[in-house]
This record gives sequence, structure tokens and C-alpha cells, in this order.
Amino acid sequence: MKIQNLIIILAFLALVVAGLTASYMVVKNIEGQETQSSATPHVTQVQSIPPNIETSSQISPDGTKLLSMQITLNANKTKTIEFTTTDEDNSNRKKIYTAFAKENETYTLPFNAWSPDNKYVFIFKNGQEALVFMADGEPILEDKLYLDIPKIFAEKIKEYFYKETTGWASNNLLIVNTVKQDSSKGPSFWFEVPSKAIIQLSSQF
Amino acid sequence: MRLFTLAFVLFLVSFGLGLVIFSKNPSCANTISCKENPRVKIENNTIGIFMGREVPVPTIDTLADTATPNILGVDAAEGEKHIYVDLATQTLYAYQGNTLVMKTPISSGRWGRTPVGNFNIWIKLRATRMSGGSGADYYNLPNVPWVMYFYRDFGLHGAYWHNNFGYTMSHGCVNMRPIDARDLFAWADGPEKGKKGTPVSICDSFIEPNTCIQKNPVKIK
Repeated sequence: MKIQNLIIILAFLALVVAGLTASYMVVKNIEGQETQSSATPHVTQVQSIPPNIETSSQISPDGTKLLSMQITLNANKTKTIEFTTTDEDNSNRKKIYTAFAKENETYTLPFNAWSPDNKYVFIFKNGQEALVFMADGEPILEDKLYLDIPKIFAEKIKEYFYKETTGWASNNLLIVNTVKQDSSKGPSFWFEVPSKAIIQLSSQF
Repeated sequence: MRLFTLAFVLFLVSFGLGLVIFSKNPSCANTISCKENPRVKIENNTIGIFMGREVPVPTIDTLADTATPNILGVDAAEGEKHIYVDLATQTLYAYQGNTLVMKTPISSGRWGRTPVGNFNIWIKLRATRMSGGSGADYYNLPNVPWVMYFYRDFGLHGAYWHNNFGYTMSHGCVNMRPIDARDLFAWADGPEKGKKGTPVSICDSFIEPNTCIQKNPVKIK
């Protein structure tokens, strides 16, 4: 009799647990579908001065600094691209980098270019290749003006491939998204500046 | 046969109970600080914590706030104000009448859901402290600037600890660049003289200028 009672109680508990587990899985599945988000286009202000010069800029999140890009279209179809930072009133100009690009090479300023403390900036080359600079124009390492994120990533991580840099998780952590060999979505990583440490994350951005 | 029926009914009851328990509306964005009544808190020379790391806290000088901010649409736009947040594209839209006065990337809930629904700003705070989470997820952030709560302690506010807007990054609030949050704060209205604050619609997706798609909105009693 006692064993029979025990079996009934266990069966009762198993049914309750099964019911709760099933409902939890249903809710989590719905939440997972709801929280997926897609990327936002980068916003930059672009204006033309003379026909062969284009400028654009990206303000820092606190509104105190500007990262500017000036593209000069040369006669031989190459481009000279100058990056500078200034205070919001255009004072305290610092030259960050000058790129000499072929006709088909592109440079853009991401919306999330500035680190939260305004110490670093990153720019995009050819779409999503992130290059990180010191905002004051000094070399980021003793022997390097900038960090080439896809290149360093490829040297250190073999299992996944660099896809994009989305922005800053903190003052010195960039968020990098990856793809797997079969082009499906890979994990996200932190890229620590300037140590170049790469940390795999449990969630995807 | 009767036993099977009983078992099936029991399973259904547990399943239904689980749905109620697990899918209830989010009650609190900041699990620690939401236990206090919201109030202005300016704490300079302090350190914040986010994702297990110390965060320098920007100094807030309220005397500097007297400088006229760039108030959105102050000269041009007329009509009712309305803020829309598109969770699918992580974008905020602010309209006055038919005029779009602000469109900017934001960061909504990653570690907690941002409630979908139609709300009104019920309090505006120049700055406050927000804290919550536990373990590696613990955060404690003083001087969170330009806070506008629209549902319980879910709010629009500036975020100085990250710059990853356009991607989910919050515990349920709507994070904005401080410069955008400042302008929106100056433009939007809190409740005044019996009139509700500026409406805030959180949408699963949004089609300009005013189509807010909400699958399962919070019902406000």
C-alpha cells in the first residue's frame, strides 16, 4: 500500500514537472524569436565641398569630440583620405591617419566609432574591416599606428572567421561577430584594445 | 482509463500554470535599484560596474545644464509628440505631428526583455543610479543621465558605459547615446497638470511614420 502511494505521488510530481518544463520551453522559444535583432545602418553626415573633396564626421557619444574623414579624389582616380579628431568646436585638431586608396577601396566612419571614454576610434575599410586608432593621433602600440582587427583575428582564431565589428562593449572592448566555415553565424568575441586579447562570448550580438 | 484522463488534466493544468508563471510581464528592469522609489541621484567621483569591469563615471555638472540644449523641432514642428522604439532594427523615432525630429540607433534589452506596449513617460530624472543582475551579470551604474521612465522602472536614458548602439545591450531599458538622450530629454514631456507625459510605443517592428507592430503588448491596468 505504501509503495502504491509513493508511485502515485511520484507520477503526480512527474506530470507537474513535465507540464512546467513544456510551458517553460514554449515561452523561451517565443522569447528567443522575439529578441532577434538586425543591424542598423551606420549614420554619418556627408557633405560635399569642391567636387573632388568629400567630408563626413562622427560625433562621440557624449558630444564632446568629432572624428572627421576627408576624401580627396585625385586626377589618377586614386583617393587620399585623411582622418582627424577635434573637440566639438573644431579646436584641438589631431591627425589620426592618412590613407592612399585605389579607386575601388572604401573607408567609412561607423556610428559607434568612438570608445565610451573617447580614447580610441575605429574606422571601416572596404566595408567591415575595422582599424583601431588612438584618438589623440599617437601610435596605438610602440611600433603600430593602428590595430587591424580582421588581420589579428585571423592570426589568433582559426575556427571562426571575422565578419564585422559592431561597437564598444566598454572603454577598451570591441565586439566582433564571426561566421563559421559553412557561412553560418559563429560566436561573438571581445577584442581587447590594446592588449589584442580575444575572448569568446557565450551570447551572439 | 480514468487514470489517464486524470494524468492528462494534471499535465494541462501544470502547463497552463507554467505559461502564466514564465510569460508574465517583465516587472522590473533593474532588479536591485527598482526596489527604491525613483529619484534624482547625482554621485560624482564614483566608479560604476558593468559586465564585471569597473567603469569611470562621468561627472555631472547641473550648472552646465543651463546652456540651451539643441531642442528637437523647436522651431519647425507642431502637433502631438510621440516616441517609437523599433526593437527589430534597434532604432528610436521621435515625431512631433508628422515631422520626424529624431531617428537614432538605440540598445534595448539583451539580458532582460524590453516590454512591448504603449506607455507614457511618467517621470523624468536628470540622473540616477541603476543596479541589478548578479554574478558576472551584476551592474551598478551611478549618474545614468537623462532618464525618462515609461513603464515601471523601464526607461529611455543615456548610456556612458558602452557604445554599441544598434544592438541589444541593456537589461530592459532603452539605452541611447548620452548626446541623443539629452536632446530627447529636453524635447519630451513628463506628466504635468493632469496631462500624461509624451507617449512611448515600444514596437516589435515599426513602419514609418506611425505603424507600430506589437505581437503581445503589455496591458496596463
